[in-house]
Amino acid sequence: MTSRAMARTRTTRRPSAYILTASITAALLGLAGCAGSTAADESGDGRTLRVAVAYEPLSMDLCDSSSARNGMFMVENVGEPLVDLDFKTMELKPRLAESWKAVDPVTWQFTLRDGVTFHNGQPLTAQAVADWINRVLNPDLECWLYGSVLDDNVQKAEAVDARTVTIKTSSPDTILPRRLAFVMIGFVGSDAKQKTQTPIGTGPYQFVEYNPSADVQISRFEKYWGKPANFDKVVYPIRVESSVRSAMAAAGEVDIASMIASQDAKAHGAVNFTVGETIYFRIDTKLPPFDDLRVRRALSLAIDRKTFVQNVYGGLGEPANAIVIPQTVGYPDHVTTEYDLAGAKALLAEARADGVKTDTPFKVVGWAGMRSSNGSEVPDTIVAMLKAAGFNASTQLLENEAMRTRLGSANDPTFGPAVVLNAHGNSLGDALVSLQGKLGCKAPQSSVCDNRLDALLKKAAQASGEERAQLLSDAFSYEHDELVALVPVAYMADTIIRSDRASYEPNLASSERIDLSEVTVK
Amino acid sequence: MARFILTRSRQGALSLIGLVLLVFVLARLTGSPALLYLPEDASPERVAAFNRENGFDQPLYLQLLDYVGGILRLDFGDSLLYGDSALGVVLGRFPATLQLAFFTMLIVVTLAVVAGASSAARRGSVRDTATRVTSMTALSVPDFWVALMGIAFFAVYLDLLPTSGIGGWEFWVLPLLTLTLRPTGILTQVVRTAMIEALDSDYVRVARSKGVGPHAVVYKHALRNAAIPVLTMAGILAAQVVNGALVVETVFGWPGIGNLMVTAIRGRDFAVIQAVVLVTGAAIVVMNLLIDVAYSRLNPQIRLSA
Repeated sequence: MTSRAMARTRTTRRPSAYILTASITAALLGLAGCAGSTAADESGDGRTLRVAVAYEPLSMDLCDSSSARNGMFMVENVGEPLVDLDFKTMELKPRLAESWKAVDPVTWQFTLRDGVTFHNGQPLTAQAVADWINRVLNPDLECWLYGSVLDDNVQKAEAVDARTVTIKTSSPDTILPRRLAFVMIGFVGSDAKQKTQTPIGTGPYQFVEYNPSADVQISRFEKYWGKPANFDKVVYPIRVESSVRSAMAAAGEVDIASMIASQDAKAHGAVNFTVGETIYFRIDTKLPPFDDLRVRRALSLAIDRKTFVQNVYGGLGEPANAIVIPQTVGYPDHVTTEYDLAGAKALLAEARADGVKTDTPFKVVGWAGMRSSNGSEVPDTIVAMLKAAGFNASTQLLENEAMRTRLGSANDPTFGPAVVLNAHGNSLGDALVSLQGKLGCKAPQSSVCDNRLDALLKKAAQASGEERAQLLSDAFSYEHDELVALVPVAYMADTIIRSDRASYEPNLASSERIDLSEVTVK
Repeated sequence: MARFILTRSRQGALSLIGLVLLVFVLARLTGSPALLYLPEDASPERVAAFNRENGFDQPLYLQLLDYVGGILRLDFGDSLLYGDSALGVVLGRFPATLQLAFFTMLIVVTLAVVAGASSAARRGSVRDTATRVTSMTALSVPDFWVALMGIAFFAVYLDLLPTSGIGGWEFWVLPLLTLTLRPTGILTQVVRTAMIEALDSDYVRVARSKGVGPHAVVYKHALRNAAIPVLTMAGILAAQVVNGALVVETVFGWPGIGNLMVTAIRGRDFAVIQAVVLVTGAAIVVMNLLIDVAYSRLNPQIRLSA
């Protein structure tokens, strides 16, 4: 550097630069002040409840309320169904509908409760309910309810008079009222053709605001027709990390932290509970060596379910005998899944003697985002058990979208023979949807199309009561004995952490929904 | 100078176009988002209808033409997840990230310059060794670990700070602590090395022989000349923070664009992914331009030419 340049560096002052820096700092501090104004409010006054949730909501529309990502704040709190399902007894109870009956095999009629108003002050009329259900059925709107709870068998809803609404189906649907327990009724305003950002329901709480990636807030609806809400306001902070939700509960920032991973399941205030979800795997039944029934039976016999639950879930959860939980209508009481390593080896040896290539390599496909999966621990454990029986298995871990594609391409030779792990939840409490969705000829995920099973399912769909339960149970037995396309592994467990002042008893559905009327705070 | 800025802006715009095209193609290579927005048992017809509705059934070049046409009208498409204009969603989240980035860099540069310069001025001293060890440790610690340990210690054990979220000043402490640690470590090392070189140079010896005090030698003469590599590194570090502190924003529930980017990628929200890349890309281009201009202000020997 020249001496002239040096002199310049020593003496130069640039007041303008300082002014600029000062202005930027002031502006940013101002912005910081703005951010501060959206601060989460203080809890601790007993009237604000805070519940930490794991997911960013799918949308703010009540027609997506059956998605696990929306259920926490929407279901039973902002929105209400026509019919309530009691998760302890699995019985139906009146909610927005006082009564319901089938007027003919393809028509159900619901009589609405009087004196119910939406959060915008509009009365709940039969026309409003019919409009909402028809909106859900509009395929262009891509509602989560349409496909997960209602399907194209439901034709349309019509108002008969001010308090009576009918719903028509193209073929008999004996469990339609049960399905409607999952359809939260919303108000159809100017947003009939697109999803809304401000849900309007009839529930004890009304929507206040959604701050993306931060929180969802709801508050007491003063004109609620039923028992008044327990809290003035409920805030749902969104934190994707289980350890952060757990820390929030430990620090007293939230009253309930939901979906806690197994490593925090012994924290102070933690309550573990079995959820209505089953881990199972699907076998590509048409690809060798799995096209041989003995090989499929050997796969099932090789799984030590007790050890799986102990090692992967730390003793939480339970070994599963079917892909639905025992409380489900149609659960097969007499079917048991056994662990018999010697039997598995013997079956494989027998198949090998008949020329089946039992050493064909295959993948055990797992989903990286599966709840409580702790990475590849679930498929790795299954692989270890299968290897012990003599199978040539290895783990393949896929992320969301690839996993969905894989689930929808059973028996696809381009992927080779595989065992695909999945979790199945049947909150409806009726096994038909599970059997149809996983084993039906038209089901995208099914790896079988069996005439006898299809006939049983068709008959069950038309039946009700004991007869229906028996037919569904028979279908499970037949699948277990003759098809072995699905191998149930374990009922999953979940954990919530309650603060010392909060009281809430989780039920089968508490991973996806917490009915705030069941929560009290000291 | 004006010509330089114009040329660099043109080059920046070209890089942005390349960036947007690349992200457009890469995002679509991951498949259609239909399966994430429809229930698990959705029929193939519904999946096809979803793709038709959102234009994902079109050949890639037609989707691209449609997108570029939109950009020319300043329409970056709508977010699948938020049902709003993608650019609106991104710009709504940008201030939260910018504030975090600004305060992070303010702390990083201040700490690094003071620690690095004083360490270089007393080479071999206890302070120098302590600074070297501390900065090396700081740059080696993974930020998710610092974040979770910070929450466990300060929020749960000591109950001094909130675990996460946004609000008053106390909500800033843990995210800033986590974000500043690594860049401070890196920049301190760079400052120290650059200062050692500057302090060994002839002009410093001349200044000393002329009787300039040790404080003035370090902070007025050497530091100014050591500023170029420091500025370059600070620019790179700032770009990383402006890009959205993915881990920190996700762990602390900080509603910035890092958090948005993670949500958008998980949800295959193409319009938002592209808008995030475009906005952060533009911010980085502008920042690089400012750094180039700052070079010539710091050292007038550097002549900016197009």
